[in-house]
Amino acid sequence: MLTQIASFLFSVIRISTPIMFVALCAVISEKAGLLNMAAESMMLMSALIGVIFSAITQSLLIGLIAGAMSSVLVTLFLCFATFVMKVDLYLMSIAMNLALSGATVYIMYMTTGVKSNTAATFASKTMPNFIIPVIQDIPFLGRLISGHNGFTYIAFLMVFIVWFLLYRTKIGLRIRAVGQNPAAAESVGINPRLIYTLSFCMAAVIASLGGMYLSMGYQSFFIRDITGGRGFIGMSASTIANANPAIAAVISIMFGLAEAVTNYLKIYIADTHLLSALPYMIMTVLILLLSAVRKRGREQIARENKKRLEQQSGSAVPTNIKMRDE
Amino acid sequence: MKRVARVEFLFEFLRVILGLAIAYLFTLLAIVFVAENPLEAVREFAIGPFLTTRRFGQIMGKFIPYLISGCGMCFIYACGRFNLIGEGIVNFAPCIAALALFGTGGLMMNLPLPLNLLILLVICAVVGGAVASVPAFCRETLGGNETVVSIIMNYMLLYLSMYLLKRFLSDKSQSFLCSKPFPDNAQFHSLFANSNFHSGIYISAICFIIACVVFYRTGIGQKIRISEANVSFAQYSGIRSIAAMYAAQIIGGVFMGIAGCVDVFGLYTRYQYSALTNIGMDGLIVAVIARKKPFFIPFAAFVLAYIRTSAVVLNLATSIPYEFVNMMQAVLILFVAAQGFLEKPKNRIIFRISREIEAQKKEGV
Repeated sequence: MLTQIASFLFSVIRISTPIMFVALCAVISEKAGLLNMAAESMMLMSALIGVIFSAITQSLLIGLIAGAMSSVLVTLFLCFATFVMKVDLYLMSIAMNLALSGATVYIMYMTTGVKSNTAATFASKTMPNFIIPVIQDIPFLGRLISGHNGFTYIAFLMVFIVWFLLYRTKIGLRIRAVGQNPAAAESVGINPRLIYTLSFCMAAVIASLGGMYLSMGYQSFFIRDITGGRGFIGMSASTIANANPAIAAVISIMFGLAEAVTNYLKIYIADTHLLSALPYMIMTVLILLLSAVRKRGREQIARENKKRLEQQSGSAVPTNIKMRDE
Repeated sequence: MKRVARVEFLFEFLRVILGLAIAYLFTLLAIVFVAENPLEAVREFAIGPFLTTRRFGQIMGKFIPYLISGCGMCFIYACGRFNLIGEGIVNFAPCIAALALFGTGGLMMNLPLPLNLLILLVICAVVGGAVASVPAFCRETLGGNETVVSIIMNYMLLYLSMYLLKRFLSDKSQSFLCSKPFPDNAQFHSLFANSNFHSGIYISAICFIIACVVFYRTGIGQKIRISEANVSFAQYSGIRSIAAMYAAQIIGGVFMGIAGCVDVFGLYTRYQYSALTNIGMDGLIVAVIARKKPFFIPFAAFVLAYIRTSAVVLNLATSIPYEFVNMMQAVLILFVAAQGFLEKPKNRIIFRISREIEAQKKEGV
């Protein structure tokens, strides 16, 4: 029984890994004040380019670097369109997702002659699984923690890296400043467009790891639309977590848990569609509830601020003072 | 002021036309570059969709839902909200309509065709409006993010529709997941030569007229337009902008429901969606090409339907895959929606005109 539970939780962590990467990618963008809807395109591009380069050079490292670079290139194009050509960010993100879904199939078709996957042409290198020497001998914990793919360990490490980056570095402070009030940040000499671009590029590198996990960790080839909407799930995880890296990682694991439960129950239940709909239903309700709670919190703060102002000035303060993001 | 408004309109128009032209040329160049027989490939892409009745029917089959979903997205996008729930509504609303069709114990089987279609359209419209109000509620009342909720809800609606299809509608005699065939008195029939061009075009035309009237000639349309232009101005002039935003999103949902209804009961003989259709996202692209103005939606919808059909024709006639054209959509959006594109010459001309008007006023004084 314990072994079964351990192997179930092992699969939860395995399924959560790409979602965790995307959630962290969305956290960085969200801290800069922008919703990152382009994670799908970042992942798709890196997943394909990573496979091609690692297969051609027979080097995992070069594959990883090429994948990350391609993801950054896609993001730079997005940033150019949004911040220079002034296209709406959401709109351009949607267009990019559509375009990259097509582009990856096109590149795959041009290089392999088939539209479904790259398995027959490119023998990609994959990130190995790591067995942790001492921990693997611990009865329950060993099966749970040891033996995961390298990307999974990077994902957990990334939670700390993103937290450190956002809360303990100069660039992190600037990202948060721009996210809270771009005009105020600009008034002290920070260029918001540069910060947006930087945060998006960092997000692209993290998302690319999620994409490459799917094509170079979980398996060794690229399948069309390999991301399967994970970009959006990660984005929702970040939104639910209010852009907190640790909470976003926990929410990602919850989503992984929901997916793993669905996979396991598929054998026993015929109507799997309702089961598949369930995580999304819970997510919707959760987002609505959290929005309500956060709104109440904002109103509470506004009321307290008003009271303080009234006490300081000794006269009534107009009631229509609003929070910036209302 | 009138001259300035004219220049604004002219540049807006120029941007769309130039954007379309650049994206089209870019696509043609790319085809020439990759095709084995460039001349034939370009010919197939450019005029292929018009060469046979069947292909033209395909354009119209796509044009019909695009026109309606474009009108719907115009309302949503015009008020500055990215409520992308249309995608899920297109799957979900016709599923509920099909439930009503098959689940009312044969009641609808004997009704006349127009009445049946009206009932199906009303059900889809109501479901669409109701579903679209959830992300709207999240944004306008709770201050949350409507885009995230709508995207998550799209997946939820997809799986719910598939659940309902499998549980209550499925035809066990078929090898794929689909409903029983729609009766003859509950379908939009083909208008000519058994092509995809079906009688749903009349519904599209009516929807287009309604969208134009509501957008340009009613109080609610005006409130939506004012809220789009300047929310603060709308609020200070006594408009309840939240109500306008709600209305815009619900109207958008109603149109999306109708688009789904026309697509399912026009193009197919059974309910058989097993993935998101992209009609919602295409509606957004149509609305962008039309610069959020319902009046230009038919043009934009036709352009998109033509490009999509060209891609299919190209895919069949040459070795260039269908997905190739999806890449070009990003270029199209980039130029058509870019406010920075042609901004400098526009500003220069507007400044010059303003100075001239100023000078004329001084002379007059």
